[in-house]
Amino acid sequence: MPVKKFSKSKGVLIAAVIGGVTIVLSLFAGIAAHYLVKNLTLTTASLASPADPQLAAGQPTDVPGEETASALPNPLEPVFAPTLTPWDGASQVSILLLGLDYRDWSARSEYSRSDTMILLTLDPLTHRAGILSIPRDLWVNIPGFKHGKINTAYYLGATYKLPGAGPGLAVKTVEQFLGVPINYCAQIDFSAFVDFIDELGGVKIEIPEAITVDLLGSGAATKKTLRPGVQVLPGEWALAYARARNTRGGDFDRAKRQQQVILAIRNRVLSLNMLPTLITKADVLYQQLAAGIHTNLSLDEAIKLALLASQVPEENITRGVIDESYVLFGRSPDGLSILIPLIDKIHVLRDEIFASSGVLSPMTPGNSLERMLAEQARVSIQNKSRAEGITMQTADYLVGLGINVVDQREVEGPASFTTLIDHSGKPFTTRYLVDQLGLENPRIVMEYDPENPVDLELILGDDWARSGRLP
Amino acid sequence: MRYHQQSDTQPVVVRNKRPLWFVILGSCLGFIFIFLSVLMGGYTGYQSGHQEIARAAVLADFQQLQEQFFLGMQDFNEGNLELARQRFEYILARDPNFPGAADRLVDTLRILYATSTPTAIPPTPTLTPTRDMRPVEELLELAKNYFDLGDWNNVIDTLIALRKENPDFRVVDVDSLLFRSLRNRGIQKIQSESNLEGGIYDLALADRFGPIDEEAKRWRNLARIYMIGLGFWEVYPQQAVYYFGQVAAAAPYLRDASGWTASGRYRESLLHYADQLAREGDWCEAESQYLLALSLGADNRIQATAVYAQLQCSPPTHTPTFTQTITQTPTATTSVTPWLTVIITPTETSTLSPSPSATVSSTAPIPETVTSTLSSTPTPPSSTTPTPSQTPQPSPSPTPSPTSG
Repeated sequence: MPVKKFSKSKGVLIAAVIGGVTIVLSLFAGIAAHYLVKNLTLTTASLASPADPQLAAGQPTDVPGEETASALPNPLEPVFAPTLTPWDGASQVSILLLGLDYRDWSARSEYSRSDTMILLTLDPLTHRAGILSIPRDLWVNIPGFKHGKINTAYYLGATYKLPGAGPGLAVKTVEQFLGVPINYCAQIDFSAFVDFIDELGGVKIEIPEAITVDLLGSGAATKKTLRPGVQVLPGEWALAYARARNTRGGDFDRAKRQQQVILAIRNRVLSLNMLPTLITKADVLYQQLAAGIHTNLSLDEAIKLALLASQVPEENITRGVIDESYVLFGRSPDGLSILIPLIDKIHVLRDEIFASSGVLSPMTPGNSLERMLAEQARVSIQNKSRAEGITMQTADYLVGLGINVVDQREVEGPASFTTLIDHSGKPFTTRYLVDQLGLENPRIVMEYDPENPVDLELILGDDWARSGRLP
Repeated sequence: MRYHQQSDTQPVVVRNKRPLWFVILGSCLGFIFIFLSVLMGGYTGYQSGHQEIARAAVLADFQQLQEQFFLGMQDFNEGNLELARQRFEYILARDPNFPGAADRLVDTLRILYATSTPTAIPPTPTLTPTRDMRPVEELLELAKNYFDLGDWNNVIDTLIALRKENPDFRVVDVDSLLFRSLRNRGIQKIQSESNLEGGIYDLALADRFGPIDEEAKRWRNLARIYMIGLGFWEVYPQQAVYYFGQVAAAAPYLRDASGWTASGRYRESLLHYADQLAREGDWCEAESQYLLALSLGADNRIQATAVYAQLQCSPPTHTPTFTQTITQTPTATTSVTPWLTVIITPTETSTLSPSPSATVSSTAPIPETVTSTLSSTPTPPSSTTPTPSQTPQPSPSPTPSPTSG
């Protein structure tokens, strides 16, 4: 019995010791797990912060890259969110690509100018895209500052710590100049560009004529010549090709080469069916490139846009460069070479690239007649011209063209010019009428009145009576 | 262990199954306990990490906003109202309750738009539209309601949401509503939001549906001419005068995103042009440009310059000579521009007196000490409007040199 007693108490003791140890162990394990996971969480979050831009390993260049020239704190942080127009996911999306001035970048200048400005647009609805290159010397109004070359907007925004910093003011300046809302902005460092191209295994470029390019770095050794023909260029060479400006067209030629490289990247990704692979490792790739890309695009958005871009056939991509035919050459008050924009010509180019399609375009199907018929507009014809009796003739003529004439009468006149009054917004019928009447300078008046029994009033003037278009 | 009696005298130790079970059970419980502790520790660590990140983010955000507020106040006090406005609007978009920001924005806008102008204060930026999942029929009705309220942005956003859901839904009605809204928004942007190019773009979009009306065309044309004039700003003053003159005559208070009005731009370009003519020695034409600028608003400095130009243009018949008793450069010309460099003030004019020491003729070159600040400091008519001349120059290198990339 004493043995039994002893054993019992020993057992209790052992159990107590083991229990105690277990509790202590649990405590330590819990605390350790707490700090381990906490640190991991913090580390993972800090990974999203931009590391220093570094050139790819083995790049034979002495370009220093310890500091980023951008003032953006974090590529994933929505620093632009309040300053840029948010994308709704359905309408046309626009992205401003910014490349920094190499000299500022290589000199590790805290603030830089934007050397390259390319505005990309994608329309998810019609699968159309557009690329517009904006020359750096364009003389524009920089919001909040005096007039200046467009490339200084980035510098001023960063220097004065404006909301959105350099990219923010660059976007605002371009928006104000073109009138096109910009949803995203991406500033790409040289190193990130090189890395990305290398990740793709180079890009296939057709070089039209021999060109001397300057690889990153300095000295004569960096000067290389690319011969004409189709070649696959590694990252550094592709960058040098995109930066070269020593051809006759200077900056304008360079802009065209940059667009060529952008399309080559797209083609490379699509031809090798690399998109799924890239998307699979997008997270890793994004972290690798995060140091050199500063954007308000999240990874998800970037993937979404990449997928969207992959659905756009090449023939649906409209390319434009604001080149010598869209500007006047001039000198700024302080003697710098500048490009004075020819606004009307630029409007045509802009509309061709940005306003030709999309969710904000007419989607009523058919030709102009079918669209007019679809509107079922009720048209009233009133004669204010000096010619009598043309009301009925005109009505018959228009009815014959398919227009729904519900009223016709003579009214007090005279009127020299024909006027169209739109009471309910019938743009297709208005256009059809203007085209069919062949009026050179029609007066169109918008008087919205949904209670009006007719949608459009056509008030005939002497110009119509004299036109001789009545059968 | 339990002891069984093998015989009467000898206790026999026999193995009992219970202790083993206890050990196994205890161990299992121990492991489970440790595992749960690790799990809980991990969970709390994760939560704590995230809370710390969130706290840091909030703090960083607050610090960023605070910095913007401080810089905004600085800009406000220095008269850089457009920059101040940008900062306060940004702060309010991020944190509508940020202390003092709303008041300062109102103050800024009040001064910025103090001139008698029919334009309205631009609306604050709209926030991200969330995806609307209502049935398309409801969305169309909603869009119509917004249209009746004159809220063009929301009409367009709602119709985009509708088209995202079903692009073929009542396509004719949607096209009609989009056409009218784009047309109205375009005019509104030009007329009252200082967004000239944005307005032109909206009207270009509307024009894709059908021909726009006379009123829309008129606003588009004014904005277009204004933008053309902007291209020549400070570079070809004569062209700028030509274009801004047209806009100023039709819509003097048409305003651009920098806060300048058409009449302000016109007046300033007249001064640029007059200075250019003066530099070229065409004093008579310069005088007429100065007088034209004066007719748009009195200014003692311009008056003095105009008088000087007049004297150069039509010197007195006795060929009187003048001595400038004040040759020092008065204040306010810190900025260096290629334009004429400093001043004729009213005090200078008043002290001009005949002297045999110097002869002023109409062909006399501009004395280096007699210069004009007028063109070098393009200050809008009122001190309450933004002054691009006060544009802060970055240091140490205000203007980046033209380098190649």
